Amino acid sequence: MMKVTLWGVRGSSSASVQEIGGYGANTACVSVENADQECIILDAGTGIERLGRTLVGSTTPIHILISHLHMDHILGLPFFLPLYEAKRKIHIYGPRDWTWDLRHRLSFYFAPPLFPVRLSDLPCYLYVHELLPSQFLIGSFQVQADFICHPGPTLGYRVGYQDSSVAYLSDHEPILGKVGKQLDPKWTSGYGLARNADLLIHDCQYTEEEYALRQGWGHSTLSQAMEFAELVQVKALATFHHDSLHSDAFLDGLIQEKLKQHSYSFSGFSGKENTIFEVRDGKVTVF
Amino acid sequence: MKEVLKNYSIELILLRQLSAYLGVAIVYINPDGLVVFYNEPTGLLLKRPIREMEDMIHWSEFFKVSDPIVKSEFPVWRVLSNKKPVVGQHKGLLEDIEKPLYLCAIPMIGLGGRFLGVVAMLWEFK
Repeated sequence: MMKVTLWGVRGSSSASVQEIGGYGANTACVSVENADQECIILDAGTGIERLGRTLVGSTTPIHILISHLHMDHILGLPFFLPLYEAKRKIHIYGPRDWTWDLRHRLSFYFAPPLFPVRLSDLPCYLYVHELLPSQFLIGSFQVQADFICHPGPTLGYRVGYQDSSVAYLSDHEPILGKVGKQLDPKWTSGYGLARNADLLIHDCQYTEEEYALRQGWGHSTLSQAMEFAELVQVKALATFHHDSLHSDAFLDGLIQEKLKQHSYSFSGFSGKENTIFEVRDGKVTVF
Repeated sequence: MKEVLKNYSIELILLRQLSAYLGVAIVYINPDGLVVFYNEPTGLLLKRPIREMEDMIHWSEFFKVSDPIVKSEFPVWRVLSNKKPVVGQHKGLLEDIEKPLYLCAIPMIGLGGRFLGVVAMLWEFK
């Protein structure tokens, strides 16, 4: 069994609309817990600040998988309280780049004038892991990482535990690989990561009108996310990376209307802040 | 139809997408020496109809290079062997093409130094 909690679902900045309710204002952060009391955190947007408060005081190592270093995915990291716990073991994983190593790139943010505390001054034990496309274990979790279609080195992740799996493609524009009318599995970014996953958490940032003006920016419309979900044959899709200017009412209308239009092979869920999914034996339940 | 388990790397997906919009002939050869795709200008230049390549063929078969000496000098082979770019005129290297061609082959190096194959660009020598 895996418990998946959405702590922040917005992008590319915190929500700036007045009518904020269910979808919340925080940027990308998701936690995945298993029955062995192990936890993986996906991205460190502003949602990680609140998650951090629940993790203080324990000695359990923390593993944070960062998809990429755009601001909305690391903005909450300096406010993640376990970083300030002496000798707390914290592992940060992220994509390799052509320029500086990951620790160096993170240190740009953990330094004046952007932030007063330097990375080297943190009292925790910080381990930084650079990733290329790979598969590895974190405790009992099986993790798969692969580069996906988004400007700059960006990783998507698949987290597996026993027979359950979650695919996390927070910032993703798979449609860019499309030549012809249909997505071709071999030529679709993220296919191998998300194929047959129980739960797919996927970018749905734009409306069709917005996408027409922002092609190549690395994000998807809801229709594109659904087309991708059909291709990879997931059991459930959770919408994610909602645009900061879209109100709750607007998002509810958009998602519900789209889900009603056709019958899909997967269940569709509005990814709202604080939504909890239980993934057990290939079945996804939302709380 | 074979079940697809994984997709090509993102570098390759974007290269294919880009090459579909370019007027220069582009052929991609994987590290095993197999031609995975080519674009329409390549088809026109080499008189090969564009088609889905379900069964990938070896670069020497695709370019119709059978002479062992020519083969060993062919830019694609040199890049596969040395992983260094080869640029220049290659008159008469292609057996069934009368007109001289430029053939530029470059190694496709992905993040982390992953060798992803060879990109060959061809154009007519005028």
